[in-house]
Amino acid sequence: MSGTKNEKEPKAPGVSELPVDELILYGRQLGLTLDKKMGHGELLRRVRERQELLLELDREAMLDVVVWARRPVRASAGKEELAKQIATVGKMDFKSLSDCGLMALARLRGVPVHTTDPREQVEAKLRDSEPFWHRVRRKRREIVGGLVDRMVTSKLENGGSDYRFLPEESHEPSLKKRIAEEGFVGGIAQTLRGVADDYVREKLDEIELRIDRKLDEIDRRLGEWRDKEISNRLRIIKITLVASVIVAVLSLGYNYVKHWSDAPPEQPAAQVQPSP
Amino acid sequence: MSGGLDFFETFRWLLALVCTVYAVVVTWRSLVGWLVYFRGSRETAVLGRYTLVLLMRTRLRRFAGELTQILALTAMLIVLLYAHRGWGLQN
Repeated sequence: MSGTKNEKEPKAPGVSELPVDELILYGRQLGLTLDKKMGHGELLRRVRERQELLLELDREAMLDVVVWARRPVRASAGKEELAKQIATVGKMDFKSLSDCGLMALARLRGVPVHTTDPREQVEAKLRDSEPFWHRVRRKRREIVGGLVDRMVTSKLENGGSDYRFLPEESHEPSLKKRIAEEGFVGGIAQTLRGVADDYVREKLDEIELRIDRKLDEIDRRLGEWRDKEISNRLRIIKITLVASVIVAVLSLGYNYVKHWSDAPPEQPAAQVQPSP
Repeated sequence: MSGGLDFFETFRWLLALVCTVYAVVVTWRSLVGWLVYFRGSRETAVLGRYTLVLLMRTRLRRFAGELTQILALTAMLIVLLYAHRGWGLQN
C-alpha cells in the first residue's frame, strides 16, 4: 500500500457510536447496500468490513479508478473520499482502466475476484454483477446522452482532454517570511494584496453561488411547470379515452340490439311441409 | 345493414371522422407552431434545446398512475372495438 502523508485513513472507533440512520448513510456513501431492516450489529459489521477493505486496497489503484471515471478529486485525496467517489460510478466501459484499478473497482463493488484472475474474467464478473435495471438505465442514458450530445453540443469542441486533479489547498507564506524575503513595505504590500485578492475571490464566489442558486431555482420552477403541463396533457388524453370508451360501449350496445332485432324469426318445425 | 339510412351508423362515422381530423389538425398546427418559434432566432433555438433537455429529464415514474390509467383505457377501447367484429362492423 502506498500512502501519502496527509492521507486520511478511515477511523473505526467513531463508527460504532453512530445512530442507525447515519450508519446507513455512511455505509451507502462507501458503496454498500444497506437496509434499515438489518440490525445495528449487522450494519456495523458491514461498515467495518468495508473499512478493512479500504485499508487493504492500494490508493494508487483507487486513484486510477477515479481518473478513469473522471471524478473531480485532489491528487492527495484520502481513501475514504476516493471510495465515496467510486461508489457513485456506474461506468461499465473498462477499456482505459488499469489492471489494478479494475481489481480495486471489482472489490469495491463486492465482486469476488482473485488477484490471479485474468482481466477478461474480472470484466465479465463485473458485467454479470450489474443489476438488470441498472443496465437498462445505463443503456437508456447512453441513448439519451448520444441524442442530446448530437443536438446540443454538436457544434462545440468536444475533444477528450486529459484528466486533471483539483488544485490542492494553497499554503500562503506567513507575513514574517514575506517581510524577510521582500522587505518591510514589500512584504506588507504583498500581504495586503493577497488579502484584497482573497476578498475579491470570496465575493466572486458568493456572486457565483448566488447565480447558481438562481439558476437552480429557475430550473426547478421550469421543471414544475413542465410536470404540470404534462399532467394536464395526460388528463386531456384520459378524458378523450373515457369519451371514446363510452361511445364504443354505446355503439356496441346499438350493434347488439340491431343484431338481434334484424335477425329473421325462426320457423317452427311443425309448419314445414314435406314435399310430395 | 338492412335497407334505408341508419342514423346511428352515420353519426358514428361522422363523429370518428370529425374528431380524428380535428385532433390531427390541432396537433399538427401546434407542432409546426413550436418548431417555427424555436427556429425563429438564435436565442429561441437555445431555448428549444433547453426545452428538449427539460423534456428528456422528465421522470416518467411521477406520472405512473396516470399512464397506467391511460394504458388500461386504451386496452379497454381496443377490446371494445374488437368486440364490434362480432356484431356488425364487418357487415
